[in-house]
Amino acid sequence: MEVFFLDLVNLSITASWLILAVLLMRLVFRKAPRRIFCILWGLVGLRLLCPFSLESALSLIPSAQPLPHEILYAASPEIHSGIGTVDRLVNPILSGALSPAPGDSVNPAQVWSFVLSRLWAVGAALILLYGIIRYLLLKRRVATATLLRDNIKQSERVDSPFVLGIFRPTIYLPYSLAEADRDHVIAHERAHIRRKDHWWKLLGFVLLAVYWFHPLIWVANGLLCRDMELACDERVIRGLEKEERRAYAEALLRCAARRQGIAACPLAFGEIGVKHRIKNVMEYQKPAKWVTLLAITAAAAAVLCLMTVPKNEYYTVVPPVSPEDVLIDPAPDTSEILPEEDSDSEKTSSQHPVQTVGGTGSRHSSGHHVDAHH
Amino acid sequence: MESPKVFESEYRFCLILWKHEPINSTQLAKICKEELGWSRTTTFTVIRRLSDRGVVKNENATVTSLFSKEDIQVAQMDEMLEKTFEGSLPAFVAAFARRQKLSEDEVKEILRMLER
Repeated sequence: MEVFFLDLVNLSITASWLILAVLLMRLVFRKAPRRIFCILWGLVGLRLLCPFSLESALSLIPSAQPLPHEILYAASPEIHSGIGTVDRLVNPILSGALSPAPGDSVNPAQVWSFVLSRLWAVGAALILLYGIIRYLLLKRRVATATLLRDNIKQSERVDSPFVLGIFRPTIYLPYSLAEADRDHVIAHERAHIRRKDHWWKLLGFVLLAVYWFHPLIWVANGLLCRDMELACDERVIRGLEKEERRAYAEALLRCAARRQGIAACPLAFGEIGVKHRIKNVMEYQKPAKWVTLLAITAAAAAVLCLMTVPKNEYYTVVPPVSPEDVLIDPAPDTSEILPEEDSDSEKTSSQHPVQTVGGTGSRHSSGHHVDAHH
Repeated sequence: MESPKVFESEYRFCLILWKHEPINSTQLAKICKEELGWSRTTTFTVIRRLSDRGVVKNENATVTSLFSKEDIQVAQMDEMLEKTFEGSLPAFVAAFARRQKLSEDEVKEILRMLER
């Protein structure tokens, strides 16, 4: 599990660059249709889901594996962040803190990785559990909702309209919703369902549970929710006249005012960033073609440069160490750190069946298997 | 006994009950599924809750109501008066008159009726 957790951390660091780029693009292309930002967040999600990455010379990612697997058992653990300054800063500290002292039966890095990986697992499990419980409680809360028509229900226990359900999404409205507002609200929630937002929200939540240790994930998730709401607003008002848009904004306002406290419901109508949404609705103009085009180009560039990883440079620089050398030997040989030619003079057998020269691969010493970088 | 308060969703359930009572609980559940979209479990839970509160009676799987529609409507109106008109009946009537365009005489007559 330690290795899995390490890979997870690596993946999250790699994805951070993409997230930062998306944040930047959201600021720069504020006028672009929100739908594009939702697609960008989808790309972030994709990046976080795929354990493998395509290599490309165009990649801007500094390093595909900032925390190499060796860090778990190397005599002098170090990171390969791809940024020289960071490496020079962090590695001495790491070596000082994580290098095994003579007489240690276990590498401090291993202790750390054990503790952290278990901690991560507990955290992820708790968050998932919390989500499941909240969903079940909500389902129970609206069990007595009465049918209005199709897949729309009303309940006195609903403060703010929302959509619930993954496979059979149902729109829940409060009884007290004014007739005039009802059509607008329904149109908005229908847009959510058509865009499959209930699926995206679920994916976002699962990713949040997995990457809960990464602060940018929380930011990304929050902004994803906002962008989804705005995108639905845009979809609804696209065909509306000015007067109808005002009515829609008023419905938005009334639903927001009615809400008491933070509604614990997904995709609530009056919940997220109401002021911003009303402003968006009233000031909506069909975005200029060139803005859309520019945004799409930037998105494509982001995919090429930030979703791919650089070609394997670091994989060829492997300090010839094996775990046994550190774990079993009370007094580690300094000869391990030196280039291969001299390091033959260590324990076990005098014949080494395979001697790799500077490249990737494993070193076999009388039957022991070493799992090095591939 | 004062008419108990029922929630809006329970009120709609009672409407169905008043139309079909006395009725077997399973059949009632079937009608509720069609008209309200309730699962069987939900209907039975509501029946149990309402019978605990003394609004309906469930004996040998036959459900009957203990209060008439008019009783419950009065209770609903009381609550609305409390919430919307701060308990003031004249305020309610005045608002009602504004909508329904009652003449002043009609309003006076109704107020006199209520004070009796």
